[in-house]
Formats: sequence, structure tokens, C-alpha cells
Amino acid sequence: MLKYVVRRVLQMIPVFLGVTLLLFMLRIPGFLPGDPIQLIVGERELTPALRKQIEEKNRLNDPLPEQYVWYVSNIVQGDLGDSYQKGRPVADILTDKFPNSFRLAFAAIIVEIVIGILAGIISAVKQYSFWDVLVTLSTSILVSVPVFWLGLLLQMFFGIQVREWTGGAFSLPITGMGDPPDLAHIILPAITLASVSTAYVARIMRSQMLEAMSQDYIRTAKAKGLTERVVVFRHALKNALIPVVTFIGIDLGFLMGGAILTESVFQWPGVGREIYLAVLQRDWPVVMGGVIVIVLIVMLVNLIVDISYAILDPRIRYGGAAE
Amino acid sequence: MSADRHHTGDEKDLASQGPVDVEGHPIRDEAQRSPVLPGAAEVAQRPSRTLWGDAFIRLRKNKLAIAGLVWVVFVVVVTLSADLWVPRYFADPVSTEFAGLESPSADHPFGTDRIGRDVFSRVIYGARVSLAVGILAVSISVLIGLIMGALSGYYGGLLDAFVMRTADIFFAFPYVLFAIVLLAILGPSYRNVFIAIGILGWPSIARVFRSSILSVKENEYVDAARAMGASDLRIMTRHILPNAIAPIIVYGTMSIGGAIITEAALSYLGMGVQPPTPSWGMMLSEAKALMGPAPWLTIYPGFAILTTVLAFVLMGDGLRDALDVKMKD
Repeated sequence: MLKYVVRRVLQMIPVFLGVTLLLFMLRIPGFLPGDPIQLIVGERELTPALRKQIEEKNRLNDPLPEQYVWYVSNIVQGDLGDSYQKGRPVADILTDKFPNSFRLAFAAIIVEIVIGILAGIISAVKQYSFWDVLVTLSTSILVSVPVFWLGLLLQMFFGIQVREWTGGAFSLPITGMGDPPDLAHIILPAITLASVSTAYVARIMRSQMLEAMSQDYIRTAKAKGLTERVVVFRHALKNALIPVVTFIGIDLGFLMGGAILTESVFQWPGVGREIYLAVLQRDWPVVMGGVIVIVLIVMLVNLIVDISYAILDPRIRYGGAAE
Repeated sequence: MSADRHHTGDEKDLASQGPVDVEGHPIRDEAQRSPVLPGAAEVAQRPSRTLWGDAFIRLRKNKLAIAGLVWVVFVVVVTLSADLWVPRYFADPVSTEFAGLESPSADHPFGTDRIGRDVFSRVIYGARVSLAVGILAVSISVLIGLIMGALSGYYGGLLDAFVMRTADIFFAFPYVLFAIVLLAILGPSYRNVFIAIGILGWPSIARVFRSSILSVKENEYVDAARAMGASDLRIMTRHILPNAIAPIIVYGTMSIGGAIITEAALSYLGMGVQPPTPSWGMMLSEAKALMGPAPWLTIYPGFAILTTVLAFVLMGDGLRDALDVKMKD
């Protein structure tokens, strides 16, 4: 087991170096639109002395390999540089925004787990029933809905229409987190963010459940005289859940990295929206720092998922994971 | 998926894939085959059907897939013929000659927008951007993906490790974020949108194709072709590709839907197609501030995206079942 964990961690290193190399290339002057030094200076007058000072601080005149080593060692030490626009360290800005993205991610994961898994189970247990057709149809539609459009529709319905119908007595807030943050503000963004993944969870759950229900041990359990409920929940569900949990785990990694579209539609002050705004303002250190941290989170969550998978399923440990 | 179901029906290929005698000549005489299946003679007299023929028959029975196909054809015909009838009977998509924010009526079936443009006409012309980006982006992904997948699946070894680790780097990035950063570098424009989406899509195609190659290349007919002195390129294009392509067709069809959604999202964020070219995503971003007074601005373009993407997804589902491709989720 330890061997597997070590091998899996070692596999992450080339990916991390590849990602940093890719982002490092963006630092090379001329690669990104806008003169980086001018962007740092902003409104101030750019004197030759100031230019020299900035170049030295950012090691812009060193040979590229040295710059890269300097860049990676800074990242490893948690120094992501300073924002061009705000002058603050990027790490501080991200520390402010990540908790907001985490809140939204966890709310979305709850929606995925509850609705996705339930819909999948019902759909599989009552195969070809009205509910099965409903679930199959709505998941197909849901994966084809653009997330941001769903967000707009929810805002229009729960924020505007419902308010009109109830004469202003009831409506859901459609922007921001609330001050102080409350439950009402998170409902619509969470549903929006969860929508596509919920459909996938339901689909995977259904197909896994159908496969599990056709296994010999299920027939044996039924032959033993166990009730339908016990067979479904104790025997089939346990085995069918593994791939679903894997999917949800990997998805959690991506959700925690912020959701640009959902956060933009709902003006949720998360890290995805922060990076998007930074792109618009050409605040490259924030963009690159944000991307690095998000990629690290995704890789870390994937690692945890893989390790827990290997604990649950011993076959993985012996070579199977290489593919 | 069993590989021998993926014969092309090509005579030459059959010759190299069928049983051969000691000199490498194909054995054609039924009597030489062993064991001879009872009734083999009658089976042989049935007109031969290729994999694609079989698939087409199965696809025809799938009502949802046909509905998807019909909708895609309809959208293509409507948007390509738009110049002939839309400006004449409705309005030019960029003209601002009408009163702003009129609700849907006979003159303006989908209403007008803030600066007096006809939404119906813009939705129809917007299909051009979506379809073009969807098809071009997926073509780029498939082209890169096939080459990378072939290199890594066929040659294996270090090349395989390198290609797959590169794919891992791509998978570690959240998709939309990666696209936005790419477009920030390339500059937002129509052309760069499909280039960016195309570049981002190759790793999935490469993975699918690689595993498909791995299952095909161990077949005897590949060994036979190699023994007969066929070059790597010939083996890949004549023997492996036809038998490994089905999953790519399925995946590619579904990806067109995904590319259309991504284009809409990027244009919504202002990183995609630039005004005045009508694009569904951009129309939605313009609609956002007017959700209360003019809901039609949000409803129609979004519905256009939904139906078009759904059509490609249904077609992909149908092809998957018809070609009997097993997809990993």
C-alpha cells in the first residue's frame, strides 16, 4: 500500500513541473499582451530607475533556466508574487477568496450526492417505470444545458417572477453571498453549479446499480429470502457506489477550484470570479497564482480519491492503477 | 467491443486478416477451414453487410437519435439558407432599425433587443458561429488526438509515457479556466475560440484512441500485415484505424455539443466571438441586465443552445449504441 502511495505521489511531480513550465512561459515578456513592467507601474511614471528596480525584483534579466528555478522555488514556498492592480500579495488575495468557493463547492456536492444518488437508485430499481424515463430524460437534457443559462433562468424565475406572483412577499436573492452570509443566498448558485454533475452522478449510479443488480450474489441474496430493501441497500448499493464516489471526489476537486461561470452569473466572490476579473484587467500574477493553486487542489483531491479507492479495492494496488 | 466486428469489408483487408496458408496466400476454399460450421454455406450466401451497414440499420431504429439528426440537419439548412429569406421577411441581424425591447410579435417572433435588433434573426445567424466553432474545434481535437493517440498507443514506451503525462497536465486544469487563459494569450476572436477549444479537447480523444489501438493491435491480422512487410503507416491507416475509429466517431459527435456550450460560455464571458457577429453566448450576456423587463432575450438564445447541444448528445448516444462502443464515464 505504501509503495502504491509513493508511486502515485511521484507521478504528480512531472505533472506539477509541466504545469509550472507552461505558466512560466507566460512570464516571458512578449508572450502575454501588455508590457508587464508597464502593467506593474500602472499610473505612475516609468523612469529608467524604476524599470531597473522592477526588472531586478522579478529577475527578468536572468537566464531563463535560472528564472524558472527561482519561479518554482517561490511557488513551493507559497510566494505567488504581487498583484499588478492591487499591489497585494497574490497569496493573500486567494486566501480571502478560497473559503467562499469552498462554501459553494460543498453546497453543490450535497445537492449532487442527495439528488444524484437518489435519482439513480430509483431509476435503476424501477427500471422502465415512469420515474426511470423521467430521470433518463432529464439527465440528458441537463447535460446539454449551459450552466450559465440555467443560472440566468433560476435568477429570472426565483428572483423576479416569484416576487411578482407573490406581490413581493417571497423571492430568493440572486447575487452575492449575503451579509452576513446566509443559506438563502447559496441555494440558487449551488443548484446551478451542481446541475451537470448531478446528472452525471444519476447516470453513473443508474448504470452501476443495474450492473450490480444482475450479479450472481444478488440472485443468491434474493434466493436466501432477503427482502428487496435489504438486497438493494445492503448488497447492490455498496458495490455500485464505488465509481460514483470516485466521480464525486474528482468533481469536488474541480468545484473547490472555483466556478468561473456560476460565480460570474451570481456575482459570488469566489476564486473563479477573481481570476476571471484578473484576466480582464491583465493582472497576470493573480491569474497564474490562482491557476497554480487550483491545479494543486485538483491534483491533491485526485490523489486522495485514488488512495481511498486503492484501500477499498485491493486490485488497484497491484499494477492495475498504471493504466 | 470485439475487434473483428470492425472489418471494413474491404477485399484487400479481408485478404490480410483471414486465414493464410504457408505462403501467405489467403485461404479462400471453405473446405480448407476448420472447423467448418454447419450451415456455413447458407450464411456465406447472405449479402454481406459491413459494420457501418449494421450500425446504420440499428441507428435507424433509435427514434431519439434520429430526432437529434433531424434537428441538426434542420438547424444547418435554416442557418445556411438564412441570407435568402431572413433579411427579406424578418430583419437583418445587425440592423438597429426597430424600436428597442419590443416583446415577441408577428413581426418579431422573438422580440427585439435593447438597441432594436431583431432577436429571431440574430438567433438564426448565431447558429452559424455555434456550428462552425463546434465542428472546427472538434476537427482540431480529433486531428491532434488521433496523432497523439496513435503515437502513444502504437509505439508505447517512453513516447507513450510522455504523451500521457502531457494529457494529465491538460486534465489537471479546470476546462473553462484553461480556455479563458488561452484566449487571454491569443486574444479573443472567432478564430481563436475554436483554436482554443480544439487544443483543449485533444487529450480525451487521444486517450480514447490509445485504448482503442491497444485492444486492436494485438490481433493476428496486424501481425500478418507486419509479416507481409507492411509499413507502420500502412498498418496504422489500413488495419488499425478502421477498426479503432468507432469510439472516436461517438466521442467526436458528443464533443461537438460540448464545444458549442464552451463557445457560448466564452462568448458570454466576453472572451469569445466579438460584436457585432451574433453569437448565442454573447446575446445571453447582453440579456442579463434586462432579465426583468425583457425575459425573451434570455429565453430564446438559451433554448437554441440547449436544443442544438441536446441534438448532438442524442446523436452521439445513438451512434454509441449502434456501433456498440463501450464508453468509460
